[in-house]
Amino acid sequence: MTDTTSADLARFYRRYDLKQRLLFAAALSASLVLSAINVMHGPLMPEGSGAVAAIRWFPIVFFPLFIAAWWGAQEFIMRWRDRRPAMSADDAPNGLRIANAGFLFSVTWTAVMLGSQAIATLASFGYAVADWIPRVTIAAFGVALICLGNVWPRMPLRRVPGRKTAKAMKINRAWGWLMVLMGVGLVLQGLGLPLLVPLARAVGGRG
Amino acid sequence: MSTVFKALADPTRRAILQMLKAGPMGAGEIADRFPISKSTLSAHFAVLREAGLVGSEKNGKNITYWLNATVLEEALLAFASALDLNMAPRSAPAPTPKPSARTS
Repeated sequence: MTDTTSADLARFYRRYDLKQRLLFAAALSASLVLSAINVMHGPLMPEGSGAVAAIRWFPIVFFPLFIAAWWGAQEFIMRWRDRRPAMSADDAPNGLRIANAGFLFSVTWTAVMLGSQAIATLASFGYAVADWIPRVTIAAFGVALICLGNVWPRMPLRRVPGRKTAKAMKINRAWGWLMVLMGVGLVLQGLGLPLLVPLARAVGGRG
Repeated sequence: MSTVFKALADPTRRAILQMLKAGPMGAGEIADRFPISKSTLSAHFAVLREAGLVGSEKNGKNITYWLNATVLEEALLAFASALDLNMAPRSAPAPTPKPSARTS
């Protein structure tokens, strides 16, 4: 039993969940439209060429599936969060900061996915894109990852002395550091280092 | 951000934050490890709370504190601890002696 005033964030999270669902519904719709364009108007591939067929079908199948999977994961997190007790007054600002950074990450991530699918679709029609586009995409994704990773260690928990809480806090701190370091790596990749070929291809570039 | 720098400027506050890295701790447990009065420690906690570097929860008579730092703040803490920075305002320097009158 704690004396700390609990903060009611139910209204904030209702709006936040609605924003997330609208974002993912819009992203999935746009991705399916791009896939449909590719299926109906994309170049026909010669029969029996597995590698070429994979290149042809990758942007059609991968991006909408990935967005749908990400949306599913977010729905799972929303349900898990609703079962948790109200946050303490000290943790409420932490919850808001992580939620806002998470939304920024989701917006950037879905934009990266859609942009990559659009570039891959253009590539399947024979158009090449300038190298700066995948670079900017990678750097933007890195910045969003840094923002989210930076606040990740403040993840609200049931804060009581004990090994279990200490372990959970250490894991959150490790995740935060990992995300920030990965984000810094992506920003450096995007801004100056030679592009890693798989990374560049993942966002539709030539690498 | 200036409140964070102010909080990290003091070695005692940095020591408290380093201790809290291990996990949440009760106020009494923290007080036992520092040879300073409870009121001084309370003032340190006020500065840390104002900077948002620690969070607290009251359980009856006990207060539990935990580290509430972001990755950037933790990096700043590690940096300040590594260099053992003491950015606290120093006492006024001793007045420089006036140059003695030249005797010839």
